[in-house]
Amino acid sequence: MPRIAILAVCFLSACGDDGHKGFCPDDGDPQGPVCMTRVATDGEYEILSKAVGLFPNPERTNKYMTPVSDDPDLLPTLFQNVNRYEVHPAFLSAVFPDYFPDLNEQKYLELILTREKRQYFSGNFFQFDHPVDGRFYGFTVYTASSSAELLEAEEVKGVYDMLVEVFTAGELRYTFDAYDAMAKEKAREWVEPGFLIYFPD
Amino acid sequence: MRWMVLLVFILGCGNSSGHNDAGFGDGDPGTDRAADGGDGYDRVAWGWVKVLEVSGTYISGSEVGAYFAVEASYPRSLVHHLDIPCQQTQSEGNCSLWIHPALLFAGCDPPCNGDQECMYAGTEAYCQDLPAHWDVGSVTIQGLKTDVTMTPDDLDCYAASGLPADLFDDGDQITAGIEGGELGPFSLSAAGVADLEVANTTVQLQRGQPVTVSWTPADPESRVQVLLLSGPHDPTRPTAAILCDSPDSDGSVQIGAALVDGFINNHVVVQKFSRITRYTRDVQTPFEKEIELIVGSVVELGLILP
Repeated sequence: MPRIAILAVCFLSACGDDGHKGFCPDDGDPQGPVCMTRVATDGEYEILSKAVGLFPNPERTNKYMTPVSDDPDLLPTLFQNVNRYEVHPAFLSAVFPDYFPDLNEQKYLELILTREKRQYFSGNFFQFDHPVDGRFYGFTVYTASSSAELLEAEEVKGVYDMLVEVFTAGELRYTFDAYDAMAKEKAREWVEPGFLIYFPD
Repeated sequence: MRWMVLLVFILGCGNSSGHNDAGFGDGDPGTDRAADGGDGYDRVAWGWVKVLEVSGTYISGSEVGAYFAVEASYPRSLVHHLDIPCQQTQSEGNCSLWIHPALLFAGCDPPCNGDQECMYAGTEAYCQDLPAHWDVGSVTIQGLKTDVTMTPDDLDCYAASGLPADLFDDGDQITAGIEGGELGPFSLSAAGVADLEVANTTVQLQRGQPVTVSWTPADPESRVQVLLLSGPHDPTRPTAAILCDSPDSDGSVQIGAALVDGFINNHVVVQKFSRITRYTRDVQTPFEKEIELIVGSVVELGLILP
């Protein structure tokens, strides 16, 4: 997206200025702010994301993280600008060094993978353009790849509730990374979990 | 291919940061490379050309690309090149277990550029330049339903886009013609393979139990490779992998319980694609090191772990 268009979207929707002031400041970078704490329009999501492909693939992708509790020492829900930082650890260590001193991927995984140590839920965030259902968004959740750590429906509902509070650009569904057969099989067991699920097969 | 686009951007092949001349001193081939009695260059090249039809959850497409460098590196390798990121620790039958020697994951700050890999020394992460790479001019794949010609990007990565999912038929003679560029011309050839069909795209691993992966035999001239991968998503190296390689006519391969246990014991998270591939290939050493053409039909596999 050309810089002038990014600036226009940010001007109209106040990128990053959403009650969590200061977490994702617009530093004037031509690729937009490093993150947003609220996403209200397709245009804002476009700033944060990269094009991937055409349906059945996601059209666009970026990343998110959301805290496991309302502990004020934790960061709020963040939608990461993958055009600025492609992966979570690089984003967190560069943008929030005070929160994550000496962060490496090992420490990052400890923050997100298991119930015992998890401080944040983290995953990919997709935009789909379904030929029948139209445009919707999907989020995945990283967990350790063991049956004991697969999320229960109520845990995913908690993540969903956190996200829909600040993501209002479109319908949101729980979905799965293509390599994550375990989460997908787990979700097939759920009946009326309280949120929509998109099974890509 | 579409989903692979995401992987490519994560891996960095195409994230341009300029030509990497690491190891070539001042960049003057006449002074930096030893004379070989020919035209003054002592060429050393490792590389690959891939021509793959891919089927998976999100994937319905093809992967056609190539890369040539003075030596191998993980970010620019093919997924079955496990000897680069891992060490083989066990083997049984047609399968082997590969483990990353240290379960550490690098995170470099600032992030490495597209021509570097984030590495670890003790607890310190640092960006290491990738081995110098070659611009070989154009790479033309002939024998496909539509011929493909690729030119390098700024990092000397070759990748075709916008190709159909159905690239070739069983038995088609497929030739990769390398124009030459900084290396000199050469070519590799391999046969097209039949589409791979599997009854189950999920592999369930249970501690202490062998597991069998099956396919429908269709092509006695080809082989089938099963690759199970674990670890954080790219660019992080895999933490554990199982690689099996069998004649297509076998129709299945059994992964022994010891290998399954080794994989389970060394995995943390699965954020990589496992796959089964029917393939033919041509490997030559025109410039000291192996250069490979692989032609294959790939089906992505999902892993279920205990």
